Amino acid sequence: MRSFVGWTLLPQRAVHQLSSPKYFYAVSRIISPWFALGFLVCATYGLISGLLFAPPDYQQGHGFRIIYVHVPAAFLSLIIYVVMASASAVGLIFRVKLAYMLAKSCAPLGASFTLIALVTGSIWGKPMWGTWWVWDARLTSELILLFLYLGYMSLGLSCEDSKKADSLSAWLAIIGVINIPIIHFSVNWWYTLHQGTTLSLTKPAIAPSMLWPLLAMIGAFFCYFMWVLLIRTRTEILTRERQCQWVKGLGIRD
Amino acid sequence: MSPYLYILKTDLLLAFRHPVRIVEPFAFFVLCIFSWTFATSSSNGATVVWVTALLSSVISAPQLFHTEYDEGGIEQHLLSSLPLYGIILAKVFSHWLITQLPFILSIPVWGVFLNVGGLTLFWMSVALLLGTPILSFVSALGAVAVLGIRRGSGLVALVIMPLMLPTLVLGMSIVEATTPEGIKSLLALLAALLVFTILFFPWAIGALLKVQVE
Repeated sequence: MRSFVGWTLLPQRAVHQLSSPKYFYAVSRIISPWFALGFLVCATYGLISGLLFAPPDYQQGHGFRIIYVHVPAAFLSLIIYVVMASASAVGLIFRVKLAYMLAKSCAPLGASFTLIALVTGSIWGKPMWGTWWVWDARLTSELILLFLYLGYMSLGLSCEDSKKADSLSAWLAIIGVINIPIIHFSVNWWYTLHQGTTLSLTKPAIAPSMLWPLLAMIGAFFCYFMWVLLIRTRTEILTRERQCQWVKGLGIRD
Repeated sequence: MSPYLYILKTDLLLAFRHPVRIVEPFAFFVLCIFSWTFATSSSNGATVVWVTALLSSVISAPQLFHTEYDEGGIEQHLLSSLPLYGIILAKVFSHWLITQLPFILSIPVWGVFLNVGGLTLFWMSVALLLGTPILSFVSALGAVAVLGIRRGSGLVALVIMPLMLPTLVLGMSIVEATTPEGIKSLLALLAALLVFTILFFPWAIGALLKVQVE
């Protein structure tokens, strides 16, 4: 019985340790190169086979190849918002400083991916739809997502008290994540021009030779996100804890 | 008298003692409608009215809790034994009465200028009655989020405009809908959104208020 209790307590202790910035700093130093490696491997395979070996689309020709950047960016832009809101919720509920730092580091990455998705989408849209921009449901949702990210970041930046800034922007992230489905649903009232979802679990709308590079690119983008997120969080930890003894002991100069 | 009614009465009394708080948003509405119709020859009445409602809500948002925050009134609300939910409901409702209701009541007059009349005007007013409280709740949230931040008025727009989009879309669709069934289903959706807002937004606003004064 004792061993059973010990076994259940162990992961809890690990979680508690990991939520301390000092341990996270040490652990993330070991983990982050693996994400960098994953990014390199996936991106190399995805880009080479996607851009050179995948067959051209029967309708869109070679133009479809932009999905190897567009779809992963759009996918990640939503995932990152959910990660950001979850980290904010953890921060608010359990009062974990590290969760706030993670959420804060997520925002610029998410905004960049949203911007990439918008820009690549409009580059693709010009030859395919004949226009850079249409007020279509999905495009509008993505643009609103960009504004949500910008609002989150500027609220955090303009509040001088950093504790207050953490809590306020955490609430904003949570309200935003509840609103995203409503926004998406409401803009769907308009006629949608966007093509249907490419990825589906039940009915694939894409040939396997095109699908595998796409999945690899999503993996690459995800690894890149994790890699840069860890770097950003480590920097954030150092900035915030610069008065702590363990940071001074690292011997990093300003 | 119920304490919530008392809060409501105090806010309305303050507004009537300083009528500029009522006149300002109203004048903003009117000027927006005039400049819009001057600038675009073929203007769609509903577009003007909804965008104006949104803008006026954004502009009047910062004053919602500002004075109380400076004078320590918010701490008194938090310390009182009343549930914060009801206090916020009363505050936002009084704000809606002061800034939005005068315009909705006078909408038959503006319908003449905008070339909107009859049944369309009626459904538009109903949609405004359902939709503008949502806008008030969202702007109250933005107002609380930027309390204590210098030059927060630009920030408040960035924070709350994305959250107002569903209301705007539904409000616009109601005027573009042609069949009575279409209008009614859209109104039902708008009402559902209002119920959702009334349920959850005062709670979120209260949480932000606690963060601001802690």
